[in-house]
Amino acid sequence: MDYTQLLAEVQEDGSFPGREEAEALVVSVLMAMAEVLPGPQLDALASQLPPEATVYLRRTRSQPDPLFDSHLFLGWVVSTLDATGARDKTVGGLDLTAAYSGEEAIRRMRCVFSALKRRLEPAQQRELVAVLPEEVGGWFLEA
Amino acid sequence: MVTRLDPKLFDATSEITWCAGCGDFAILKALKLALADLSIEPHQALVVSGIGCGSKLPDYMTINGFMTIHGRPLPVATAAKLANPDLHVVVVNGDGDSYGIGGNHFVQSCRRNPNITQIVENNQIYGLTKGQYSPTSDKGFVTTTSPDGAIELAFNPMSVALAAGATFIARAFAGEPKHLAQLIGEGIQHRGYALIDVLQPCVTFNRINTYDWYRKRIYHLEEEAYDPTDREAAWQKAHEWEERIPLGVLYRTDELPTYEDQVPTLADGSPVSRIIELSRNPRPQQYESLKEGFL
Repeated sequence: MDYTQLLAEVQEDGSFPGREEAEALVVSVLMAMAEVLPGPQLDALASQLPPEATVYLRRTRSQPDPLFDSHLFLGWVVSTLDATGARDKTVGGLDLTAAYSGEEAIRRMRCVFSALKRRLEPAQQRELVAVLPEEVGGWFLEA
Repeated sequence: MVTRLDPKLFDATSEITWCAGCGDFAILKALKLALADLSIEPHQALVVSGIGCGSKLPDYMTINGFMTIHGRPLPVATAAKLANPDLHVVVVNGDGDSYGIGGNHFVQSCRRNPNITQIVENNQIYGLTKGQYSPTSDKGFVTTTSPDGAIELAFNPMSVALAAGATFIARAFAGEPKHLAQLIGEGIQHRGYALIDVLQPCVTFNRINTYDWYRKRIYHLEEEAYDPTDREAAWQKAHEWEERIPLGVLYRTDELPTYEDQVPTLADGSPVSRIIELSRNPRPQQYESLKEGFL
């Protein structure tokens, strides 16, 4: 398993201009998964990924928060999108980044899920979907 | 035994306009869960908010709601509690609304000790107005209004609340909604003013204090040998930031009376119940007596 290959797949799938952007996305999705997956599923996923990726699957809490949902999951990904930062991009009070960040985050998340699915057996994929927040599981299946 | 309600009882049909991934979603969910766990029905509670992204929250719940002008939810909430002490009154507002525009009300509420719960959605930025630095933004924080970095020191709500006499001071993280719901529940059950400062990432405008940033720093006081009734220990914890950030109840005391306990006219019953009684059995002189009790 090659970390570089994983990033290259995500970069190509998402049409990202740079490797750094793809890596930031992969890291954010893996960290969100670490927040929500129970121990056995987390270990199973880690066993299929290159060591450079598994470091992001570490969770500080012993158990996932049962109320962690798709909104929180998205939060980890949206934080990596290019946003206004110190610049004001608002148009008449509407911030375009904010308005479309959810759709873009889901599109990007699917790129990572797609790369992960190539590394997981169908049974492992089904196990993951069963423990992901419902909407996130749906995005994983669609990827 | 308290019968737990279904949190869906508090669901509303309004379209939620928060950004995808906003920490406010977790706060909304945790508040519904806390109320349901305490078996508080929608008609038994009032949520008061100010102005800001998070202050839209009452509109996203089936509950009594009051959206006040900027910075003023605490006095409105105190008045509602005085009028009807049987009501569970919860204030939900952002760090700008609470600690900036409403800063004086925040300090006065800490020392008055009304039996209300305040949940502050502390994202360290003004989100609704598109990303200006707020009272809790760290020094050096770059925004549209601080292009060279904020030059002020950040407002520390924990230490200010402690110094001003608050009787329940807690801190939670929106990335841990179950823990947040537990703290909200404890705050609602506390007799007196309860502050729950919620560290809540603004995923669009605050790219420093992200879920990951908090995850690397937070720890739980419940998992340490920590006594929340120790005021000096609380003072130490209130100043922890940057490297390690404590979550949980920093300080609590049940030894002080509430504001309502000390208002003499409430000894004759709540104004709301007395007005209802008077509307059924009108006696003009009783209206005057009721008004005089508050003058």
